[in-house]
Amino acid sequence: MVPGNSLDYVRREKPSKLTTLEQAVSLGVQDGDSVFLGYTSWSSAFEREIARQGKKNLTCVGAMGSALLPLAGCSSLVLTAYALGYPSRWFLDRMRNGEFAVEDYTNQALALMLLAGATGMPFASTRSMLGSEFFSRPLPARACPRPLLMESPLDGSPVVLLPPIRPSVSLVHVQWADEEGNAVLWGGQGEVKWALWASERVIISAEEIVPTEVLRSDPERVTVPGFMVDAVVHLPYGALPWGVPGYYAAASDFQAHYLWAMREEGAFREFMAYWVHECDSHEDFLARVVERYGESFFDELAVDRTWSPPKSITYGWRTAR
Amino acid sequence: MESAKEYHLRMANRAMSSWSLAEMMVIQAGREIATSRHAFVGMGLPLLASTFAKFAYKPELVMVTEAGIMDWDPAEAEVDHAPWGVADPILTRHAAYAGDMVDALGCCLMGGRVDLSVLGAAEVDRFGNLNALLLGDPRNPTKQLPGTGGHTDAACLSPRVVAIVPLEGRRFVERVSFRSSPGYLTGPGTRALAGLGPQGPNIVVSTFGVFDYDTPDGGLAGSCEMRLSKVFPGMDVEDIRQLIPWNLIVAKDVEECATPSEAELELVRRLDPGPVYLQPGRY
Repeated sequence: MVPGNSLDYVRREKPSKLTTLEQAVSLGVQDGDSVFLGYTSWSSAFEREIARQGKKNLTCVGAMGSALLPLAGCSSLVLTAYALGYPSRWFLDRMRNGEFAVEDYTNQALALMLLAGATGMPFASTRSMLGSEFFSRPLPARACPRPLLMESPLDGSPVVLLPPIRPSVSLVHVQWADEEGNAVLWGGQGEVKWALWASERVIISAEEIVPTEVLRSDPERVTVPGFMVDAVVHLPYGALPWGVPGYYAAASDFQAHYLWAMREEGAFREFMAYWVHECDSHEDFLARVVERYGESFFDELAVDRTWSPPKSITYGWRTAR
Repeated sequence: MESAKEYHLRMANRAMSSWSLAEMMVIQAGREIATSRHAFVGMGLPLLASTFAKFAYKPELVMVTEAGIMDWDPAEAEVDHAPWGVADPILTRHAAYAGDMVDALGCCLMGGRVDLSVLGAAEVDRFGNLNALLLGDPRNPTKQLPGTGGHTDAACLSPRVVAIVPLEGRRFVERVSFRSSPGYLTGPGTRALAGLGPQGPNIVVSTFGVFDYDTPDGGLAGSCEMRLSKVFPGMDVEDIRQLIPWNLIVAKDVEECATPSEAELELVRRLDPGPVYLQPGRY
């Protein structure tokens, strides 16, 4: 039988991967794991849940990072190119005390290291960081190969060999996912795709759970196929205080509070108590957002949703006769 | 006698009829960026200046941003602010391509598809090296900045760099605290020695004027030192030399930049409502 269109197609039922935020993090993230949090897509609900469950000794990797997990005592090492909440005196003091360490890379280097991890290669190569002082800076002790400056064996030109990164788990917030874990992320993609392919386990949260038929009718739109994904969490407003293209804008006051809280011990304790430890669930978190910022909070973040493609692609083929 | 800090403050706040030196910096940077066809655009002031360049002078300018969005080309009327970051969803409006970091920083930048990078910096030094990582002793920094993002990648891999750095004593230094993003390293030939391609003509657009570098070939010959090449309207060469903590070279014929037009000022202010980017003390 030739399927007339994708919606008539009878597919094999697959078990749903839908779970709760609490379950996903408690089963998916173990103490000592290396964790990729997609900050390009602002997986901040995952970040808070990891802190709430008090995970320990995590290595956070990713081009975009955040100071929240090291400051909360959950992470002992951060590999990043740009971290939010980094530049405070308090952060530096605690780093000097040896509570956590930071290894600085560049966006390109981290993306390529994840690409090497994704493709199972022993290194990726780049000419970025040549001539910089990244290699003269003492790096924290860690049982992992370092970037290596060498001459290319093929043409003798200087290259930097970058070791692969293979995170234990990636936790990424996207716009759409289905119950199989097929996930769609739009807007700037950052290094998310490579982290997902490089990771041992993948956990997705999504603004909207859509029918599998919708995603399977447009496979080119899918950022990561569901067979790669271990768990899916339905998490409306999962990126707050940051925005999600097509769903809501960044909440500037809340964002400022979020960043400010990472600069100073007292503010951080207060922040962690109200937004993390006393929060029973994501629903409770959203209720607290309304309590703190008012009933009109979500209306004010609404985005123009009329900017959609006026024409979609067709996957038609000539059927056998 | 007034301190260096007071002097800087007095200079920066000098009333320039109806425009500020920070606005002039963005406008002049825009004029320089308009010589590019495909520009890699860093975070901060580069986004404002490149958006300004695109709407004011060069509609066909292709902007590449590090999160992967390329060739943003919206109608001017739809843009109520220059993107506030490379993840600002406004960048997806009428963009030609939304890819990822391997596309932007691997294929586009390292693959040689951009002719210019526009970068900010916390520090710039005599040989055009930029610093976006930390201040003070690298082993025990006094200040840690958020990180370099794609800044190092662009400084290493671009054929040309326009840096936008307000001229304050602590930002123009003889040697950067940490060379996160190489320019001409320690002088002629050192860029090539490190394995980097030639780069130039590089410039720095500041709040007082424009600097280029004394090298005809992207870092092999010449002294590779920063050189004052253009001053903003009403600025005095000697005043600017006094703000630079080393013996600055001055070009033979220092040009005076054109006074900003009403249209230029109106556009810069419209793209930076608030202002967010040009809030005093912020840039």
